[in-house]
Amino acid sequence: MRKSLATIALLACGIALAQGARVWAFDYRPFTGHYSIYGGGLGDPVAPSKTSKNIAFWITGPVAKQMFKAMGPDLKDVCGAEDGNHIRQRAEVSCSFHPKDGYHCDFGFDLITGKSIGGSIC
Amino acid sequence: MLKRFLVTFTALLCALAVQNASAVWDYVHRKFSGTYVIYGGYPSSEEARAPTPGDSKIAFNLTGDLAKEMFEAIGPDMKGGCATPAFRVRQRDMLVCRYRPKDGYRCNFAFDLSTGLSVGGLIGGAVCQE
Repeated sequence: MRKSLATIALLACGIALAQGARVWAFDYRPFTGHYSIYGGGLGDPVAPSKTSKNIAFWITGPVAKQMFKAMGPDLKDVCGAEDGNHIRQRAEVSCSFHPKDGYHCDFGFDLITGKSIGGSIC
Repeated sequence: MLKRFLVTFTALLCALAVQNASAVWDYVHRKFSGTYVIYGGYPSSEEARAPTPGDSKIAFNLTGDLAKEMFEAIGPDMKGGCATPAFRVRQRDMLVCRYRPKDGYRCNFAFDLSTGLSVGGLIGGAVCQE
């Protein structure tokens, strides 16, 4: 009896551990988005050249939602934060949530220096 | 008369040439797909942990045409990149792209979501690993 109780306890412990470990894993998940490679600024893009070559990414859906949630509180009184649009921005990474359009994030890189740059004008 | 006609004709030709030159490049948004992971710690299965409010990062992994385009855009290979010469690595700041004959083009980058700063999407040395 004591042996079977010990076995049950051990099994329960094993299941609990396995479930705990399953909660989070370093697993890459698929996502889709849009991008553009351009020169100059996003407000007035020109053909990319040897001196000016940038990439902007725009993503929506679950990945944008997860980023938005991880980025903490909304920014108040900023460009774009009107009409129920929630803006969250850290450095050059910007995410937004609008009840009608859902989650959206944008960011970019200067492909000549590799530095993080904005993916939107506003 | 002929002079006036020639001037008009040249001006028209010039206008057409300018229009064609500017039509060579279009600002377009192209679709792409990739994979991502949100994690804490460092971006590897051994050193990553569950993200927490103060430690949330996102790593992106891009392959295919977009990775090739980025690889070509970011310029020359890193000198003395990987021990295997067939593994080509191009790195600018925290943005890393590579090419291997076996699995093609791949680009990696990551952001710290607490600060928005660009961080490494691969841990040191992982870029040259099989």
